[in-house]
Amino acid sequence: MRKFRKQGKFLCIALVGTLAFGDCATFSVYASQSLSSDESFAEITDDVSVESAGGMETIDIPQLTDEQLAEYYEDSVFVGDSIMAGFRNYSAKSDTFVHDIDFLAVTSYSAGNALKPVNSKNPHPLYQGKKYHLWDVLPLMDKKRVFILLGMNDLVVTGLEDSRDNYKELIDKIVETSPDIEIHIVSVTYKLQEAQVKGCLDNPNIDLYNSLLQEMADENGWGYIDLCTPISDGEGNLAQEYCSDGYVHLTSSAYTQWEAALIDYANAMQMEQEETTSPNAVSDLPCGGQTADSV
Amino acid sequence: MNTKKTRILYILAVLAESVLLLGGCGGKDEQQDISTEIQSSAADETNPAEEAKSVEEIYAEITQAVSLQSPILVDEDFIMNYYGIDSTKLEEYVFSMSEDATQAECVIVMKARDIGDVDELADALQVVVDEKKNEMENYLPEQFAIVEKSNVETKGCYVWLVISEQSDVILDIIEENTVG
Repeated sequence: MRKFRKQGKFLCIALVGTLAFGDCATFSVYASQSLSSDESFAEITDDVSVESAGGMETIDIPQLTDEQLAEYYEDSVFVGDSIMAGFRNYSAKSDTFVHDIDFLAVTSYSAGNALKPVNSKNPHPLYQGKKYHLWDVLPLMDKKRVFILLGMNDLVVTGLEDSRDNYKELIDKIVETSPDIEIHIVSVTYKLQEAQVKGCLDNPNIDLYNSLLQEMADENGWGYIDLCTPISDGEGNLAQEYCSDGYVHLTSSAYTQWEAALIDYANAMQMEQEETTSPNAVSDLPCGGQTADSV
Repeated sequence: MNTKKTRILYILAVLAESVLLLGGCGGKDEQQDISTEIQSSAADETNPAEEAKSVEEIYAEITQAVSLQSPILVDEDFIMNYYGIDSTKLEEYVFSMSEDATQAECVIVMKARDIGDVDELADALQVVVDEKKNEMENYLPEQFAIVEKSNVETKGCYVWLVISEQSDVILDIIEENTVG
């Protein structure tokens, strides 16, 4: 009798358990983000007036709204090496517009590496669990624009011109598979002044390389954003307070500076676009709208 | 007669328990209710059932026990974009990694909704290991050594990966607080 009672209890427990487990009910996710920047996004996006180069007049730069800014970067993918991976991690904990940026960042990535075959050894970005060549993965992501930060690892192993040529080859492949994507090149950032020089990775060379990249961007109608200067010490080196490892990697506060620079960049891009699409755009140009090319 | 009835009840009970075990992993609250019931009803013949903590509680215990290196918790878009992990297959999860891109440290604990998805999740976490190894091998040898010691582990509906210098402590906490 006692045995039967025990078995009866066991049956009840089993049935209750079955009923309860039958509906694989609740779904909960534990993931949190915290605001890292002291500057609120709304403050950054207020309209600003800046002095012109000559200091004689002020120019009002129209500022994108929070929504427009978020939309601009949500439609972007940021590509790069460990410096970009640091920004990816910064963005993961942020609750500003940078949180919604998609990244393809991998440590040791370079233009030279990006051209190598995809295999278990060569560094290539992961997308949904698989490694891809950059030109193959971008069409899958279907974004309007790509920001690319490469070069630091190139300069360690190849010279300036060869690194630039690899970069150009990479972008040409991207344009082949994603003909409508906007290309924006991000400047290479400095190392600390006292940090060891590896290959051509020295600050004067980084300046030269950035000039080559800017020239390449101008020649091809690509964007170029300087994220090096906002975190420099004013003397052509990475500022101590923005360096996390005594070498080249960046602190959270450095990425906060990037965030501000990205806001300025999106505003400038917007203004440029408005100028080119405005019906008065031609008459706004110097010399009655005649450019050098049209002469 | 009584013996025959007992046998039938016993067979039904075994079948019901099989469905319970094979059918999925269930919600935490439901699981706790069942555990409590099993504990109170069967206390006189079995050991009290172990009680699993939520992965959130497990992670909180880990962060109290060890000091992780600038940990950040990443969201479902991140784990999908990078590793192809579909968060709808997860009952709960914690995916913590170091904000510092030169640190390989990560603590990932996932609980699948369905035990049938555990292998797929383990494969996805193996991609994390392979990626970290690949990134660190010729770049940061100390970090590579830490990654090399790590393994993806599973227990029932749980899948976890710990890459850390303090992995022994962290793994003990996870092992103690999960039920297979």
